[in-house]
Amino acid sequence: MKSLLRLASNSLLNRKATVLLSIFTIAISVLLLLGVEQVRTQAKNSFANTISGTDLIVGARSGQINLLLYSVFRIGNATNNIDWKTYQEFKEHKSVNWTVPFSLGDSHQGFRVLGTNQDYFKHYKFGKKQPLSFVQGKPFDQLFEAVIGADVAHTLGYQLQSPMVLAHGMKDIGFSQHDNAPFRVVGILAPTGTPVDKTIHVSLEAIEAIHVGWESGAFLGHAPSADKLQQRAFEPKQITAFLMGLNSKIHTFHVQREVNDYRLEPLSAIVPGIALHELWSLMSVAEQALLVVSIFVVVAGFLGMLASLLTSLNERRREMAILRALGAKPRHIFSLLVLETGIICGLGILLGMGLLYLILALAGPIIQQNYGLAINLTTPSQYELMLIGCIQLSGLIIGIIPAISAYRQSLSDGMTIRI
Amino acid sequence: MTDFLSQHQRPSASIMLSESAQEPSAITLKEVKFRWPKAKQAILDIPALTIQAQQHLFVKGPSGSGKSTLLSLLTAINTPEQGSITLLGTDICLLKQGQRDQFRADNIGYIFQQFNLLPYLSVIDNVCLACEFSRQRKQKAMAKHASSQHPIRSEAIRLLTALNLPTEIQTQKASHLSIGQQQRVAAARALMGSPSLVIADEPTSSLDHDNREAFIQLLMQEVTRNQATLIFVSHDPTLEPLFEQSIDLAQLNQGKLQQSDLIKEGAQA
Repeated sequence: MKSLLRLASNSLLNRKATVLLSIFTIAISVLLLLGVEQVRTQAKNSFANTISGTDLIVGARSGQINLLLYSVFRIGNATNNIDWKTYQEFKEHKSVNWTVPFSLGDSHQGFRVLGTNQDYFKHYKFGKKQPLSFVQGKPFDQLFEAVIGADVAHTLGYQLQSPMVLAHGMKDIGFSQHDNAPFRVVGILAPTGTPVDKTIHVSLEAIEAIHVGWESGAFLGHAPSADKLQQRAFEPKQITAFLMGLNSKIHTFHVQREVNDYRLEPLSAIVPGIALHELWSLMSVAEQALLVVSIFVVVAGFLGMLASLLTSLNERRREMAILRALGAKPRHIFSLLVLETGIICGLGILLGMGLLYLILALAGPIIQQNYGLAINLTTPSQYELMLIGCIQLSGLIIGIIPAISAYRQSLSDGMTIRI
Repeated sequence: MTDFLSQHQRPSASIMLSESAQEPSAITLKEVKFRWPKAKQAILDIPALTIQAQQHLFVKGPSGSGKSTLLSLLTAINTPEQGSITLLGTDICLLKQGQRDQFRADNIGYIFQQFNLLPYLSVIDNVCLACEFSRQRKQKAMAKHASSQHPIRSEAIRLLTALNLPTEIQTQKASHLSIGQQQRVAAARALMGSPSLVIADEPTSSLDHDNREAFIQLLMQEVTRNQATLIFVSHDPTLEPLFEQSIDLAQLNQGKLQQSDLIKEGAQA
């Protein structure tokens, strides 16, 4: 076995160029397969980490995915609002520890505006219960102050004290702008890799203030000036949704039932983890498609290796005849070829993994900086090890094809080579 | 008619090549017939052939005389359809395929016409390869250099040096050698671990005349030192005088006669 291994490696070294190409083909397919797997798990993790530490999300009666999409991902719109009194009632509920009210509906240059209060910066958590942190500035305090996410600051080039005019709805057209009341940036949040990065945060009172004169849904009356609005005290009448943190997780389903059965208005409460899971499973088709594509790349890599092995086989009949003359049994010839494919495949896997980790190590800091996504360089997961094992095994199985034909050739050729 | 003919020819074809009857025979063929799987007629039909041990035998065989087939039988790659082949006292027809491979590894040194060496191994490694598949040959090689740290390499170096291959080329890649040098390396490998049979298939056909004789002299000298039997196959009759004994495969092989008869009959029909 040891001498066969030496023969195999020497013979491979002798055919450096084609063997290196085969190794690279396998390496690239392994890189792709494991890369897709990494992206998938990281995406899944970051997706699941969009919101954490929140026990329930409450909004107007709707499906749980819809509620999750507009409250957490800022996608789509709320079906209805929640009355401020209802919110107050649940805020005072004995099982409830904290709440964060959300008021959505306005935008600025395509970024959603979220009306909330100071509790947001205290209780909103993402990832592994990480709180939001400020790169610059502080939470809003005055009426026309805004805190912007990392992407907003980056894309629009805003800094502290930059002025901004919010627009009603998602359209940034002239007559639907709240230009009577410009805001200024007082805080910029650190990247989180969640929709928070694309959000502009203002106080609930500010949302009320800029909508004076918009009560009917469109701007009909005249809007008072910012100074006048500053002097008024606003109390919100409605909010879009609110987050809930409970004293004890044991009460989650109890409180959820209570919200869903609330008599005065139709409400829905969702458990973020469950809703996120359901939403992710909707994407499993894309996930599968990615996996299938990368498996096909691996298959293509193997076919390339097979082609080059089979081509070289004819040139190597002489080699096999010499070995046979020296008393090598056909099974030695067979194992020699399987061994060669095994070596090519193994080296390909090692190279592919090396490349993957190199790319992750190089790209990790950049991704962390720009997207707030922490990519951990971990040892391969059990699933990845299983994938690698499958690749190595299929490599050996594919090696059987040239091995069989070399075996046949060596049996029929014997001492004479008829080419 | 064929039967009649073969019966008549049998006494002349059965050649006793050595006078001394006490010498054990290295190779004995009896009633051997061989046919390639898809062929209708036997390509080889040798009623009887005995080759004594330690003989240096020249087998004359023009192309098409069944030379390759005979070699594949003598090296136990193939077994005859009929008859028996006894090599060194072992009836190889009774051996299984794996046992025949092992028998070959242990007892036969083989030299090809050309391209004898694995191009990706060094000259020494090529010679040592002969011991990789046979424990017996390995032990024999090691026994000669019991005191050496690398007994097998020492034996390879000894043989290479004896065959006029200087030390500096012994570590080179086999592909860097001239054809004459390659054939001498092949001879060293065939002699490695002192196999009892050395079979050479036209080993000098790619050498020029001077090299040819020198090669044969060296080969014979080492074969004699190893007390091995040498079967040297060639279509070149000018080499015949160098050998003490020779046989003509064209005369020996009845299979060819039958085949040419068949062709004649076919032409007449």
